Amino acid sequence: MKNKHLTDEEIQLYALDADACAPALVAHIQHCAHCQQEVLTYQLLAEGIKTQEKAVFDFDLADLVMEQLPQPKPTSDRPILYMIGGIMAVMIVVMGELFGSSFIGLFAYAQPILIGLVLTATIALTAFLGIDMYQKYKAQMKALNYY
Amino acid sequence: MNTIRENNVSDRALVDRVLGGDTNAFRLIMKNTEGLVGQIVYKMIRNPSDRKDIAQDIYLKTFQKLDSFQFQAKLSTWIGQIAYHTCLGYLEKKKLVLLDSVTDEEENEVLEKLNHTVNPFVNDIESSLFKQELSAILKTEIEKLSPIFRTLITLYHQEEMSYAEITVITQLPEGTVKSYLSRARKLLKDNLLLTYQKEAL
Ligand SMILES: [Zn+2]
Repeated sequence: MKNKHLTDEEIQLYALDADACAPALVAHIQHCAHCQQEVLTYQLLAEGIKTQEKAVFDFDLADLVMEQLPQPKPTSDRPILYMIGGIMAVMIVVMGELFGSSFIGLFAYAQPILIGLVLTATIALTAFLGIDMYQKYKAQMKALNYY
Repeated sequence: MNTIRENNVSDRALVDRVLGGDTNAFRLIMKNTEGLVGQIVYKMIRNPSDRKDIAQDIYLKTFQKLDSFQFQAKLSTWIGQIAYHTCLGYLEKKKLVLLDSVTDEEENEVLEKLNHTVNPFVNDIESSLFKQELSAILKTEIEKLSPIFRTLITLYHQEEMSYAEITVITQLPEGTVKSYLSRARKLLKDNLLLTYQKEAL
């Protein structure tokens, strides 16, 4: 058993978390009225603080903040869709101008089933690229809305 | 452990919603954390009109920084950190005193007085009047503490946060948090006893 009274820190530790105290300290407290009183005072203090009224904002903070946040803008999807469509149309026309004659040659000789295959692949690829471009645009617009 | 995981799941869901453009989810984040932020702002800042500006500033900062939140702590603790440091910045700018400085002499003097008297509470503890009186004295004594001591005491004893959580909020080493809390409790205890004795006379 420790014969000297406990230090203030030890008293606090015992008052708040007796399990964390060394057995020698616990033994001293159990036999020392002075230290027991000190412990009691700290326990009263802790309870007294815990039961104090909590501070709360006396105004509607959420409303004040919300009106300052960037609102998600109802972005119109049309212009970009028109743009993608336009680019595709131009590309088809240009391709037609450049390779028109070879296309005709191709039509004359190739099997219809082969033409079908080539057309399907082309349409699928164009559609895929178009959708991808559109999604990237959406993601960027969203990022821009935040800052 | 389970509650921490659940908190993290809902924290993540809320943060994802806000980052995905659902600004209204931010209102929920505010509702969930306003209690803690309020406690910090009221303990750190005395001037009511400053509190209003600072509180808004805290949440606007939170919104701007939300994409940098890594979920290494609870969202509320992270927002508490922003709150604490926003208040601290304000106090530093105004050059206000942040910490209680207790000189050893002062402390010894108080101790001298106290050691000669028996703890004045012992006979009164059971009465409810005593508890009310104690609570009222304590309220005044907490008010007299410096902003940082007042906030640490509130986070630990009222918000029931762990030393580790308080370390995240204040970014002070755990040893410093413990020693500040210990000093703050001692100050409160000594002043409480002195006031109680004076009033009993
Ligand atoms: Zn003792």
